[in-house]
Amino acid sequence: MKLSGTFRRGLRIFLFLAALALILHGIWNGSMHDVFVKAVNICTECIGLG
Amino acid sequence: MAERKLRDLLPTRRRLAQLYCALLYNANLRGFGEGKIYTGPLKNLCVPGLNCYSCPGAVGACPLGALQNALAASGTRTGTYVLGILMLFGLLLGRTICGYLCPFGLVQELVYKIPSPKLPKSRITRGLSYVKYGILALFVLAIPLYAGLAQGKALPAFCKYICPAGTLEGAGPLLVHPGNRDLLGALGALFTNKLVILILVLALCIFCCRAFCRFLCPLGALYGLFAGIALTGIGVDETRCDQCGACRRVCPMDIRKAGDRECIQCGACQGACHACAISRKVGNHRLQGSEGPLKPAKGGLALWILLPALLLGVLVFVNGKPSAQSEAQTLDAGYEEGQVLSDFETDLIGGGTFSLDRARGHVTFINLWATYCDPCVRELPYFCALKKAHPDICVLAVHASLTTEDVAAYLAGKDWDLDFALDTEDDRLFGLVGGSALLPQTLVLDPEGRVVYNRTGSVTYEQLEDLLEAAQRGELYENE
Repeated sequence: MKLSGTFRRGLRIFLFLAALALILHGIWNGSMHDVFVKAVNICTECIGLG
Repeated sequence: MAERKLRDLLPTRRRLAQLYCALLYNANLRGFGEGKIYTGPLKNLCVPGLNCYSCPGAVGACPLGALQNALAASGTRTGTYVLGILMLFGLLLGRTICGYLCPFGLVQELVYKIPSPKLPKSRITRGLSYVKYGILALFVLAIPLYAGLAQGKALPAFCKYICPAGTLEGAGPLLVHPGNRDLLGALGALFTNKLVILILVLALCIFCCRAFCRFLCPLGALYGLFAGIALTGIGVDETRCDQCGACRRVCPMDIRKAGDRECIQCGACQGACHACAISRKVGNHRLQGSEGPLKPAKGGLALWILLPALLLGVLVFVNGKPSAQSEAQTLDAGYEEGQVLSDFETDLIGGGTFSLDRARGHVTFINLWATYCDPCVRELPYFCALKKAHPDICVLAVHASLTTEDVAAYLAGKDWDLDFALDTEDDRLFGLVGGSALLPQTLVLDPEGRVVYNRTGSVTYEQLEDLLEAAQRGELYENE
C-alpha cells in the first residue's frame, strides 16, 4: 500500500515525537540505566559462553 | 586507464562509512589489550548496528541485546528507552544502518570477496528472507518476554543461542586474551553450538552475499519495518521508472523494488538504472542521481570535520583513563590462584558484617553475582545446599554494585541462607577479589586464605563439592 506524501510526513512526525517521548520516559523510569547495567555487567551465558 | 584502476582500488564512501563505524563502535582499544570490556558511561547509549557489548572494544550497547534484556525485565520496568531508541534509528535511518553503519555487515561483505562460485538470487532466497522475521518474533521478542514475565528469568535468547556477531566480536577477543584463560574452562555445549553457527554463517557468506543480513538478522528485520517512512534511504522516481528490473538484478539483497524493506540502501542499483530514476534521499532532498526540482543536500565539508572529531573525541575519552575496576585490580590484593587473599570486611544485606579475617580456618567461597544474571541466580541454590551439607564453610555472595532492582527486597523473596553483600559504587569488593564485568565468578579459599580457585563461569553442585575437597587439601583446583 503506497502512502501519500502528507500521510507519510504526518506519520514521521508522530513517530519521531513518540520516539523522543519514549526515550525521555526511559531515562526517567530507569530503563536507560538498565541498558547500561546489562551492557557493563555481562552474564557469560547470555553471550554464549557456557 | 591508470587513473581508473587507482579509483577502483580506493574504498568507496560506503566502505569508509562502514570502517569508520566499526572503529567508532569499538573505540575502546585499551580493552583489546587488557582483555576487559569497557564499563564507562557511553554504554548508556545504543549503537545503531549489530555490535556485541561484550566485545572488549565496544563503547556502546547493542540495540538487539538491550531490547531482549528490556523485554526480559518487563515485569520490573517497561523498557521504553530501548523502544524509543530503536524507533528513532528506524525512522531516521532505516536499513541505511545495515548498508553503512553495521560492522557485521562489513565483515560479511569482506568475506564475500573471497573468490568462489556465487549463489544467485532466486525464489528460494527470497523465501528465506522471511526467516529473519520469525527469528525476530521468537528469539528477540517472545522468548525473552515470556521468560521475564512468566519465569522471572533474564533470557536474551538471540544473544545466547544464535548471534554470530557476539561470538566473533565478543567471545572471540575475550577468549584469545591470555588474561582470560579461566573463561576457557567455562565453555561447553552452548559455546560450541554458537561457534558452529558462526562458522556456518561465515562459510555461507563466501557464496551468498550478506547471508546473515538477508536470512537471519532480526535487527535488519526490525529496521526493514521502517522502509517507506525512514527519513534517509533510496528513493525511486516513479515517473521515470520503466520497470526494467535492472535494479533488482544488480542488487545483492532480495528486493522486489529499490528501497523496499529488504533494501540495505547500498546504492548498487543507482548505477544500473538507465532511466536515472533512483537516487538517495534525505527527507525531500535528493543527494545525487536523478535531476528534479529538489535541491541536493549540502553539508559534506561539515561532515568531513565533524566525523573525525567525533571519532577522535571518543578514542580519547574512552582510552584516556583506566576504569575503576582496573585500578582496583592493579593493587596487590592476592586474588590470583595460589596467592593469599587480602583481608577485607563488608556489611551484609540484612545486617551484620563479614570479615575474611574471622573466616580464616574455614574453607571460604566467594561468589560474584547479580539478580539480572540468570546463571548466577540458578547456581546460588547450589551454594545454599553446600553450606547446608557442610556448615563449617563460609559463603559470601557479593552482588555487583550496579543494580536494576532492590536487591534486599529480591532476596527477601528467596529462601537462600547465605551471607549476601552489595558491592560499593567504586567496585571495592569486586576489585579485591579480581572480579570482572563477566558473571558469575567464584573464588574458593583454603583455611589459610589461599586462593585455590578464581574463575568466571557457572558451577554445578558437584563442582562445588570438588572445590571444597581441593580447598580442604590445600591444593589448587584442576579441571578434569
